[in-house]
Amino acid sequence: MSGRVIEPPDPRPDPAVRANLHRAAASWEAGRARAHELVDWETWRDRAQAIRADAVANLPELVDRLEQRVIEVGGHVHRAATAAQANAVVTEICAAAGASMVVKGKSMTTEETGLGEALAAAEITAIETDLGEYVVQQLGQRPSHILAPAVHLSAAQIAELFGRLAGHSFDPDDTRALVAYARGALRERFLEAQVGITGVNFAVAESGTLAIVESEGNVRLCSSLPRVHIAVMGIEKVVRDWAGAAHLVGMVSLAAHGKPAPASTSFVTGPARGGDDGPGELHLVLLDDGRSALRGTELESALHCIRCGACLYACPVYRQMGGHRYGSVYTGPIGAVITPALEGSGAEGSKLAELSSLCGACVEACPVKIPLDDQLVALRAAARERDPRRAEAAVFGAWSRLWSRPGGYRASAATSGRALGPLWRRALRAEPHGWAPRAPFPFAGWTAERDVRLPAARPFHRRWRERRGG
Amino acid sequence: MVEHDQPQVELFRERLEQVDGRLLETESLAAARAAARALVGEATVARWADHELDEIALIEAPAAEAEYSLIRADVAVAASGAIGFAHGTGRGRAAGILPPRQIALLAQGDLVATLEQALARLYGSGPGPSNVVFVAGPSRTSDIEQRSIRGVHAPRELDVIMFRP
Repeated sequence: MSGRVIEPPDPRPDPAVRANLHRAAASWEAGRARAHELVDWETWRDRAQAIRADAVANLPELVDRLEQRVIEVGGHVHRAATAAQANAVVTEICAAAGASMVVKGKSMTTEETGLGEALAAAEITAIETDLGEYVVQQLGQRPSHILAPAVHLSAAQIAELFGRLAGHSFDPDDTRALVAYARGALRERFLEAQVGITGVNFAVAESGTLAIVESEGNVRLCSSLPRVHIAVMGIEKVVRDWAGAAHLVGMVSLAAHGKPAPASTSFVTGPARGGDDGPGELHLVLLDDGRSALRGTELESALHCIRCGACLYACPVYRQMGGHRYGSVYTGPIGAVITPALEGSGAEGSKLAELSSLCGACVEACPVKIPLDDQLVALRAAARERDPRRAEAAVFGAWSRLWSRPGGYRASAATSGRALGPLWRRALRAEPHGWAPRAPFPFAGWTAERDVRLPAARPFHRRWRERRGG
Repeated sequence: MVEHDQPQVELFRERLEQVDGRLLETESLAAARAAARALVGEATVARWADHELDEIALIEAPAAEAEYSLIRADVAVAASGAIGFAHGTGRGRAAGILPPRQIALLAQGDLVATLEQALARLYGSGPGPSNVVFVAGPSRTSDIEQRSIRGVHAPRELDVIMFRP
């Protein structure tokens, strides 16, 4: 059991978050259109894919080189095989620094390891400093999107929270005042923190440089003002060289927001040197926790992910459900793949692969061309091998044989509407031609997670023939 | 030479303005300094020690209290409107981020086409500076209902003053 799976998925639309998600998805769509105007998208994707494929194919060699370079420029490197090891080493560094409070930049990797809870258990308070992450932390929630943690919340909900924290009320339409409140509250924390913790977007093996992108400036503060900077990264974030890192910094911004560069990109090469007022100590924590085991499998390319969030916004299932109902740290199509993939053969998280219509919108959106739809199918197949559903397989097998012949198809389609329709309709008390939420026995189990369309009274092939005058 | 670079300058301006930054072109370092002086007026300033930034601010203040951050950009990227700068001795991180407004002086000769070229300039062959930051416009957030707001933890205003050559 790891922290990646929090609870079983709850595959139902969430009306409360749907409006917020649709607004966010529309904004992402506009960004995608801009990105396609700014660059030759397919050429950029091909190059981004090649850079990531090279990194993952040569992972052990590149991680060794990265480690060596970081040490050469004065940093400390810690390898963690598991989330628990990563949390333990971060906790030790904080304790050694005498820190009872640390500031954190947004990092999905530390969400994955459950670092916040581990630090809390050691009586160290970790303050999230990304605005959206700060909001969800103060609400006792977790992020619902890998880039926009509070995308499921409305301004009114955030205004209500800040009103409670500040002791005076906020106008939800005065976004500027809400942001100003968070800035003020967090500024004091930045100035007093002894340790800053961030993630890493890309690590350059040839120079030992950590590239970290952001919009708000909180990552710069976390990696600049405290005496100690701890950067936590999944080992797959390494890239071979500067050219690759430069391309991916542009690509992640284009794919996420349709902008040619992030608002801010920090390049960290070792601790501060000379008269620099930055951190005198830099620690890099390299997390494996299931990543190496994916190399050489059909899920290897899931490690190419640059965490841009595009597949989430593109996904019709994510847009209906929101992130929380996945029940996992990583959500949306990439979450449905990477969560069971990193968990290995354990059944934990394998239900996530069901949360897709396999429409392929995620594959089109992905800036590094991960075949997410194929991987979801592979994960479903693996889950069936572990947990065969014989009755379901027999029904589908019979159906497949019947519909493989034109005669069988025509006969069954013509009779099913007439024969089964009234039966199902009575059993379901559903609207004629409507979607039924629950099928009668013995199909009830199959409709626990999906609706079923009632058979048409007159099959399509017959109507088509009549329409063409055949 | 200058005319040859003009399309690149125009691209840089367009991209910088798209992310809510402002570009002021001047003919010389002296003119750039005068423009910076006019912008700052009598506001408090936290500055880097670069000699080009001397005698611009009337009133200097610690970074956490200053109204303006006054820095020297080392490089700029036309394709994204970003400026890049290395921290180090006399170039404090707090002074570069804490004030609400920022003015960056940039030599036109330091404008390049892409981030890759900018990084090659900054790092060359050695390990290079320990901390380099590229900013494309002011800091921003869309975390509240996708409404874009400038200025979260880093400056909310950015004026880039470019001088020739």
